[in-house]
Amino acid sequence: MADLIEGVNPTRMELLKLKTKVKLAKKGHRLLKEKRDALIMEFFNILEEAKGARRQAEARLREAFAALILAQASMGVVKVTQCAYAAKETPGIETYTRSIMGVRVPVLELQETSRSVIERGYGLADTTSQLDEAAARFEEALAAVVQLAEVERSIKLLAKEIESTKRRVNALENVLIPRLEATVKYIKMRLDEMERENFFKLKRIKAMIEAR
Amino acid sequence: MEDRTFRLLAKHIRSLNRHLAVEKRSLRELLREEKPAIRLRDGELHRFKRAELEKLAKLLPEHMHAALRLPIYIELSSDRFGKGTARISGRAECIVVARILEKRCEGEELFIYKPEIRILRRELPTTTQYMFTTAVE
Repeated sequence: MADLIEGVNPTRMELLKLKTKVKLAKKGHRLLKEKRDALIMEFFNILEEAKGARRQAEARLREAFAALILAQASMGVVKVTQCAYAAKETPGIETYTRSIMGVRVPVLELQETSRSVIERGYGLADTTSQLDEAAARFEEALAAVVQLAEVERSIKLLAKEIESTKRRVNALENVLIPRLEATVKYIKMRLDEMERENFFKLKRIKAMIEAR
Repeated sequence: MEDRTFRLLAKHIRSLNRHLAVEKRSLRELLREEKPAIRLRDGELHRFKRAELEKLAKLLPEHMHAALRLPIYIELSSDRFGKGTARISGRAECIVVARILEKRCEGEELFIYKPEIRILRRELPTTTQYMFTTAVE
């Protein structure tokens, strides 16, 4: 049997109060369980997305670094580094949040994904097509990495929320509701006992009066 | 101690739906905006993905764009609809969801089930929101 709530008076008033609390606790438990299930569903949805995103980011980065090695082989490491310094800044990332059941998850959007050779900013006269290829590959990789960052951060935030919701559900299910129900049962038993005691007392008094 | 626990519990129940919109906005209105967003009850701003809005616009005839109010609520209530069942309310909302899930839509209410909720959330992550309700006692 679960523990009783300490310091409870076995009165009808207290019994009514406790019954209301049991109702509230059960309602809360039901709703929180629904929230937990929905969060888990979201988590698995994003997890599936993450698997694809990680694979894609790794593949894009592998291709990009392979293209970079070719560019360095054709132009030399120093020249490629010079071109990298000459290149215009990478495109901006717009960040905002969306809400999944109160969890603020980030949304990252690259403002422009691919640029033309002229837009990149390095000179065309002394660079090779391998460098253009490497830059294009890195632009693709950047988009994949940004998507991966969004998904992985969302997973972490959702996992945290699932953990706290689960803890609340378990506390209600295993501690609070059993304790309340045990206390309600105890008060009912005590009230019945008191009623029987009073009845017996009255019977005794009646018998004593009749005996006089 | 117990009272404090119950105050906290009541607070949690109240805050379950604080991620819902203060006011829904129509698809037509949102499509005109550069950064389509709505204000939530918790005071935060929720942005819609433009690609999603465009997808919705394609699914619905143009004369119904004003009738589709976003976000679409996925209403969960295990004591009313049963566990794992959700309700979509509104004519335009039902049409859009039914087209995504390849279901038939009759009337202003559509009931969908867990695997379908998953598909719907995957297709429309920013334009749908969960709503938790309970039966009035």
